[in-house]
Amino acid sequence: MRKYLDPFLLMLILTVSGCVVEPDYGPRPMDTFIKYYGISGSNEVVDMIMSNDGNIIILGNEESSAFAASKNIVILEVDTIGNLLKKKTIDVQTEYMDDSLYSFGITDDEAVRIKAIDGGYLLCANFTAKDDDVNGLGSKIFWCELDENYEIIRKQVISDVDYYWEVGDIIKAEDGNIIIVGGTNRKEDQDPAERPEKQRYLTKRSIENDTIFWSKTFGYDDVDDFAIGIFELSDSNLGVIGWTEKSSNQGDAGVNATFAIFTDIGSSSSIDYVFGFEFEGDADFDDEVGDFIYTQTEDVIIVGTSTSNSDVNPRSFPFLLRIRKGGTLVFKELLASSVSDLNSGGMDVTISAQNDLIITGVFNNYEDSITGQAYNDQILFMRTDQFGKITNDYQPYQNHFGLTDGDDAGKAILTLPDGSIVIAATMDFGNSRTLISYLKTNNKGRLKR
Amino acid sequence: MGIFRKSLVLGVFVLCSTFFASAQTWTQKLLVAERDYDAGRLVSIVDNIIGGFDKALGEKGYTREEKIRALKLITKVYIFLDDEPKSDEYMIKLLKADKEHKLDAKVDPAELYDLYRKFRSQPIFRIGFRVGVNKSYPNIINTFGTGNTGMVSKIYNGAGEPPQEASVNGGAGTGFFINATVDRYLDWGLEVGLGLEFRNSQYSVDNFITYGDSIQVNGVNEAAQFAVLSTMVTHQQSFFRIPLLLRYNFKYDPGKETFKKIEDNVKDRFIPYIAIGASYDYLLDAKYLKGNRIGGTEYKFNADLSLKELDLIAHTNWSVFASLGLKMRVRTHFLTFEAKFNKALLNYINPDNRWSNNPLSTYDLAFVEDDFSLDMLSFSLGYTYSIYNPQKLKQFR
Repeated sequence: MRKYLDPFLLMLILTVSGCVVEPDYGPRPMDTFIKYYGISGSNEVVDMIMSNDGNIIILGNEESSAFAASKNIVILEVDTIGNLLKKKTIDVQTEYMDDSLYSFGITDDEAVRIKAIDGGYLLCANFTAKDDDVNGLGSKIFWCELDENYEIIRKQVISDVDYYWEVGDIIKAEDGNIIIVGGTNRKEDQDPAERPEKQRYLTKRSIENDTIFWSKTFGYDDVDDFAIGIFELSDSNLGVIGWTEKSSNQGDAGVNATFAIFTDIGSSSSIDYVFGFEFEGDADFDDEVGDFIYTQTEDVIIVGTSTSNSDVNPRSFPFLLRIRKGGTLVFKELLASSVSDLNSGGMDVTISAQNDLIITGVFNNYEDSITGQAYNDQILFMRTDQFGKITNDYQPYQNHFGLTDGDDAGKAILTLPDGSIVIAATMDFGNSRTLISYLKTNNKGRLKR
Repeated sequence: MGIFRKSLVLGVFVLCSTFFASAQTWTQKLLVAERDYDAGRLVSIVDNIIGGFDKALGEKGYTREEKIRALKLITKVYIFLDDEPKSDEYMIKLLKADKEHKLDAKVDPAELYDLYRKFRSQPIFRIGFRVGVNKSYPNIINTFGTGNTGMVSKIYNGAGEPPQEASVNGGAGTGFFINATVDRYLDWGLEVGLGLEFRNSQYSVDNFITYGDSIQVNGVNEAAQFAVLSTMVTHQQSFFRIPLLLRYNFKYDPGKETFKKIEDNVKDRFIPYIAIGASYDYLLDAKYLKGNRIGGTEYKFNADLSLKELDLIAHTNWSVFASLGLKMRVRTHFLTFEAKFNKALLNYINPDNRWSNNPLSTYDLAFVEDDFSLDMLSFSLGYTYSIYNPQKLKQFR
């Protein structure tokens, strides 16, 4: 028996050395993670939507750190586990380099929105030509239709040497035409304002050619206005989300959120609701709209940031507004913190699988009350009930993400079909190095399975 | 000659005999006794030489070698006097005085061999001490990363090609360990051992966030990955381990049946061996020893962060190992040289907290741990001390 011992031991060693228990810890859709994307330079998030085939599209901007580089639009398609599938960079100056109608020269392009449509996407962006003498000072609008691979099918610009235009949103209407909203200092003929500053801008155009069905501006005298979003109601009216520097219906000063409904696009008549916030008796808050969602019940939920104009105790908090399609206010909540010096802002909102509201945005100079760790700006994760309230049940759902030193900001948030939450954020590594970040958390805002 | 004269002569003889006898050293007495044994005069041998064991004699008593000879002689005497209790007693004394005493077939009688085999002459156990160096070999189970993991992999312990515009900064991943084992000989050259070990190890990871672009190679554009952000972390971990091993010694079998084996196999100066085993590993601590980032501003790293307290690392693990070694006999003890490969069976990382409980690395370093088993190649130098307790084997009592 002894003679068999050596080969037996050898086989045993080889067998044992080849054995390892391999747990099933592979990446799965339910896994949480953080991903970074970008080039050497600055990369920032603007918007995030679901693609037509169930992936995630992150819209942003990138600017190389190379000398004389300009800012370009970037579209990233990633799968639900963060793998980068496609990347498309759009440079307006390149798109119009050989166009005899335009000569923009070097442009800085800033993406604003991307919307999924049948067979492709709509993209809108602002751009500024660096050579003001040729093209005029200020922002211009670039919008285009993209195919599934983000190649430009058709493109247009809204440009004039004497005026500026800024885009807020773009949709494809039921009739197949394009509606663009934003702001401009050009007053349209039907605008009754007597002393307009920047007015809210609304135009309907053909996608096949640049036929302008109508363009209109509206707003208030002596103050700036801007339209940040548009959606088509079931009764064919248009809802326009925006902001104005006019005092709200309740008398709140500063910038206030607006919800306008256009019932007759041929006339200048519209219903315009203005909503503002106050905090501890201070009504002079700037209520800047971050983003909005249009619900299945045709309500609109608006998220933004209320910032006080007080020099003594400047505070800022996220706010939530829910408005019915007729303009009725369902609720408005200022998500104020009792922690002194902890300021924050809301930039996007999503409805969770549990019908709660989850917002992302920024915690300014966040200090963790438990660890004592101090941060610069952090990505905000805040979950409320469906009425925008943070009750005791929702306190554990508040969370923050980001670098210790950088100024990080959550720009867009979505609820995935599996109930997990994804956030697109701009991460600041300092020294003009920012990256696009894609975070997938559970519905409690934890990076845990 | 009268009776008086006879008495006088006898008295002088006795006095002289006593004088010369008392003047003999214990060395001489032992030689005389050995001659008496050879001549078959067994009766007074024990009485003549037993006094040499008296410790009070100091240097005047037996030397170590003489003591062994004397004990062996007394044992043989009692064998042939058929005094079994006494022969057993002195066999034990002999084995205590000379561990693993070797019999000599040329001079030692078969009866002594027969008695010898009835006693436990080998160590009841051996205690081994080893110190050594190790090098980690993280064995990736699943890849996770904050970058484009499908395009660019992390680089462990400095071995790999970085993407464009990046370099590799990680170290080799070396550490050290110290252990002690208690070994017990079984049979057929097999030993079983149980030990305690403190192991300090490291691994380094270079991590890259990249973007795809093209690079000209010989005038042709080729796709390449360019680094946007490069980070490097050196991860240090300390384990308390309890290894259980089975060792097979080549050319070593003290045996218990044959004389040949006793003579031939026990005296080998060099004994090669192989061993296999398993270990329970308990994490004492883990931390990032170094961490830096290239890209953005300088990153200030907190090296005091305990990854164990953050529950980022699995607190316990199991591993198997195989080793190849050489024992060099130093009297009845050994110097050992050993190479060992240790393969962890379970994930080193706690996957539940991979993303959530590492506030510094996940964000500031854009780094997240893979799932991997932390395998280890080690080399050690050791000393094995043999512990004896000679006794008559149970079956012969």
